[in-house]
Amino acid sequence: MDWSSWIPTILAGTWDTLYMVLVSTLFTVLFGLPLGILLTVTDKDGLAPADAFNSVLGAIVNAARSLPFIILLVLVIPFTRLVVGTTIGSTAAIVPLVLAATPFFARVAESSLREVDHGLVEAAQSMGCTDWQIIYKVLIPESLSSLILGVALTIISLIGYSAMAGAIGGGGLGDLAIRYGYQRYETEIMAATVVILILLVQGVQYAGNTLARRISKK
Amino acid sequence: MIEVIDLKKNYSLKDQIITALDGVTLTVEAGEIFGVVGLSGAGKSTLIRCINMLEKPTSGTIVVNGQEVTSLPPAELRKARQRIGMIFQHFNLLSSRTVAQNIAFPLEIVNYPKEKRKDRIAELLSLVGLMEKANAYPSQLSGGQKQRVGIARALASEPEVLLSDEATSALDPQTTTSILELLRDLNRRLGLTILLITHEMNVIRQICDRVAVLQDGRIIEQGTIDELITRPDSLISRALLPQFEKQTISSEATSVTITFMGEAADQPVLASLVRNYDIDVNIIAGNLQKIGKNRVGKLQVEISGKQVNAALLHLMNLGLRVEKN
Repeated sequence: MDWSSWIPTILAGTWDTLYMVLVSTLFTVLFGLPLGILLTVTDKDGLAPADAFNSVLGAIVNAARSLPFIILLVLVIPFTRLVVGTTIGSTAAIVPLVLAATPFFARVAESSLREVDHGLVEAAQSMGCTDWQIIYKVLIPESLSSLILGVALTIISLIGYSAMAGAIGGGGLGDLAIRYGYQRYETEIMAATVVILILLVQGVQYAGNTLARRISKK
Repeated sequence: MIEVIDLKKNYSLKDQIITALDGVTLTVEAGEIFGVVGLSGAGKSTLIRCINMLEKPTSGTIVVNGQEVTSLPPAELRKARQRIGMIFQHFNLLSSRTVAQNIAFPLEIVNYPKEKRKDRIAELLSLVGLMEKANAYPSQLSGGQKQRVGIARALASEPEVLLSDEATSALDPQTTTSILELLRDLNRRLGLTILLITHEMNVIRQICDRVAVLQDGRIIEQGTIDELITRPDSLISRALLPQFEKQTISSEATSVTITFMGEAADQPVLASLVRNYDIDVNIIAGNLQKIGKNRVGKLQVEISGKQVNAALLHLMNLGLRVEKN
C-alpha cells in the first residue's frame, strides 16, 4: 500500500483528536473543578454542609455519568447547535465531550479534595480563615498533585470518548480506525491509529505522573 | 484571660445523646500555663476546641480576651480566632508549603504588610530555633521540628492566648521536654497565656502553674500544682508523687511515709533527727523530684528506738507530712 497518500489523512486525524481532547479538557477542568469543590464543601462533613443541595447535585452528576457517550452525543445535538452554531465537525463534538467529562472529573476532583487531612482545614479555621481562603489556600494546593493525576485520567477518558465523535463527523483517530480499518478492512490504517492512540495515552499518563511527583512535597 | 462558664456539649449519635462536657467552669488567668488533664474520652479535646469555637457548645459561655466568643457572628469570630493561637498533636502543617511559607500563612490571613512579612518570619523562626530550616518542607523535618513550626505559625499573628491540643503527645520524651521548655520560655518572655490539654502527667509536672482534672465531662479537681500536691487525697498528688508499695523490714519499728515540700525538701532533716533523738532510721524507699518550681520528696522509713513519737512530732512541726503506714 502507498503510505504517502495516507500520511496526510492520519496527521489530520491526529490533529482532530488533539484539538477535541485539549479544548474539551480545558473546559472540563473549568467546569468540573468548581463542581467537585461544591460537592466536597457541601458534604455533611464539609466546610459548609448543605445536605439537600448536595444530594440533588450528586444525583445530577450520577445521572449524567450513567448515560452512554454515544447516546449523549445525539441527545445534546440541539444544545450543541445553541452553543457552537453547528452540529457536525470537531468543534461540535467538543460540547458533548465536555458534558460527558465534566461530571466524571467533578467526582475525581471531589475524591482528591476529600483526601486533604481534616486537621489542615481545622488549623486554617483556627487561624481565622474564611471558607473561600480554605478552598484556595488549603484544599486546592494540598490536593494539587492528586488533581493533576485526575486531569491525566480525564484526558485519557476523553481520548476514548473522542473515538466516537466520528458519529457526528467530528473526525479524529478513532473515526479513522472505524471508517478505514473496521469498515474497509484497511488493517494497516487501523494499526497505525491504534499505535498513535497508545502513544498518546502513555504520554499523557507519563506526563501526569511526572508532574504530580514533582509537585508533591509529601 | 479565658473564662469558661457552665459549658455543656452534647453530641447526637444515631438516637443516642452523648454528653462530652457536662457543666465545665474554669478560669485561666493572664500569663499562666493552665493544664487540663484527663483520660481519653474525658472531654479534653472537646473543651479546648470549644474555646475557639471549632466545636460549637450546646450551652454555656466562653470569654476569651474579654470577648464572648460563644455569641460572635462569623466575621467577628474569625477576627477573634486570629487572636487565639492553636497547636495540634499532629502539627497540621501544609505539606505543599515550606516552613517559611507555613509561617506566612496566618500573616496572609491577617493581611500583615507584605514588606514586613520576611522580617516577621525570620523573627519567628529564631524564636523557635529553626533559622536554618526556612526553606525545608514539613516532610523533611522531625516531629519536634514540625511542632516548632506549628508554634511559630500559631504565634505569627501575635495572639494573647495559645491553645495546645495534645501538642507533645506524638513526640518522644526528650523532644517533649524540649517543646515544653520552649513553651515555658515563650510564656515567660512574651507573657503568653497557655491553655493546654494532655493525658501526660509529665507535661503537667514540667510546665503547668494550675491544673484541672477532667473526668466524664466534669472537672473533678482544680487548683495550683503546689496546693494540689500537698493534699494527699488529690488525684494530682497521687499521680505526680510516687506511690510506695507497703513493705515491712522490721516488725518492731514504726513505718512512716514522709513527704517533703518547699524549703524542707532542701534541708538535711533526717540527719538532724537522728542526732537529736534517740532513734534509728532505716530508709526503705525514697524519691526526690522537681514539680513545677518546687522540689518534692517522698521517703518511706522505719523508725525504731525510744523517742519515736517525739521524733515524729518534730517532723510534723517542721511542716512535713507524716503518714503512718
